[in-house]
Amino acid sequence: MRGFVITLDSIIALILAISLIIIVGSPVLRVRPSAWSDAQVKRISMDFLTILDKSGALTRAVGQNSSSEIIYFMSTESSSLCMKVRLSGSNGYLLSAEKSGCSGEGTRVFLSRRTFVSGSNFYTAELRTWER
Amino acid sequence: MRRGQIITIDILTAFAVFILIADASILLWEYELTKAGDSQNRNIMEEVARAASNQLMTPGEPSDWQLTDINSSSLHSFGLTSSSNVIEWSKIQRIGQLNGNQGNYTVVKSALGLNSWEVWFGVLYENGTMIQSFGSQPPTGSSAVSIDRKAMLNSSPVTVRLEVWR
Repeated sequence: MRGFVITLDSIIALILAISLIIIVGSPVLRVRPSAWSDAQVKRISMDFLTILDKSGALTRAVGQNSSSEIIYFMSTESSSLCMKVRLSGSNGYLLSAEKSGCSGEGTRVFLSRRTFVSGSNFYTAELRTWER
Repeated sequence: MRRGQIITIDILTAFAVFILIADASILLWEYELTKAGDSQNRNIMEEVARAASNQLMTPGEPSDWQLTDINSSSLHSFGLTSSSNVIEWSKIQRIGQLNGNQGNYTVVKSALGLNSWEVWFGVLYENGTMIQSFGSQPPTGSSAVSIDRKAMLNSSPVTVRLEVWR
C-alpha cells in the first residue's frame, strides 16, 4: 500500500511555490489603467466653461435671468456626459441649468469653476460634470 | 561501503511540478513586463497628444501664420485660435490649403511638437459634419490616442479632434 509523506520540508516548499505564483500575478505589480477618461472629462469641462464665457452666454444668462442658452450649449455636448451649471453672484445663488435627461448625479463628479464679469459685478459659474 | 542514488517516482514528480511552476512564473512575469511596457508607451502618447491639443487651442507663433508661407524656420508653434478656445476661420481655411503636401505636414507636425509621431486633426460641427481636417487618419488597427476639445467657430460650438499615433 502506498501513502503520502507530508513533511515540514514539503509544506514549506508548497508555501514558497504558491507565494511565487501569487507575487508574480499580484495586482501590486500590475499597471493601473490610465486615468485617461477622467482627464478627458476634466478637459471638456474646462473647455465648456471657456466657450460659455467667450460666447457671452454666461453674461446673457445673468442679464436675462435665463438658463436657456446654457442648456442649448449643454445639448451640443456628448450624450454620454451629464452637466449641471450653477451661477452665483455676490448675493448668492442666481440660477442653475441641467442637461436634459441628467437627473441626480454620477459617482465621479468633476467640479470646475470660472469667474466672469457682467456689468461691474463678479459672478461664478460652477460646473458639475459626470459620465452617464 | 558502497554509495548509491535513490531516484523515486516522488522525486521525479516533485521535480516536474517545480519546473512547471517555475515556467508558469517566468511566463507570467514576462507577460506583466510586456503589459507594463505597452502601458508606458500609451501614457507617453497620451501626454504628447494632450500637449498638442493644448497647443491647437492657441493662436500659434507667429499668431498670423496663416498669412505667410510656412516652413520650419517661420512657423515656431502651430495653433488654430485667435484667443483661448475661439477658432479663427482664416486658419481653418489655410489648413485646407496646406493639407495633402508632405512638406507642410512635416512642418505642422514639428510645430506641434510631434516630430516622432503621426498626427491628424479636424474641426467638426456638433452634428459630426467635418469643416476641415489636416493629415491622414490613423490606419485601422493602429493604437491611436484621440482627444476632443470644445471651441467656438463663428459663434457656433465646434469640436477640435486630434489623433496621434506612431
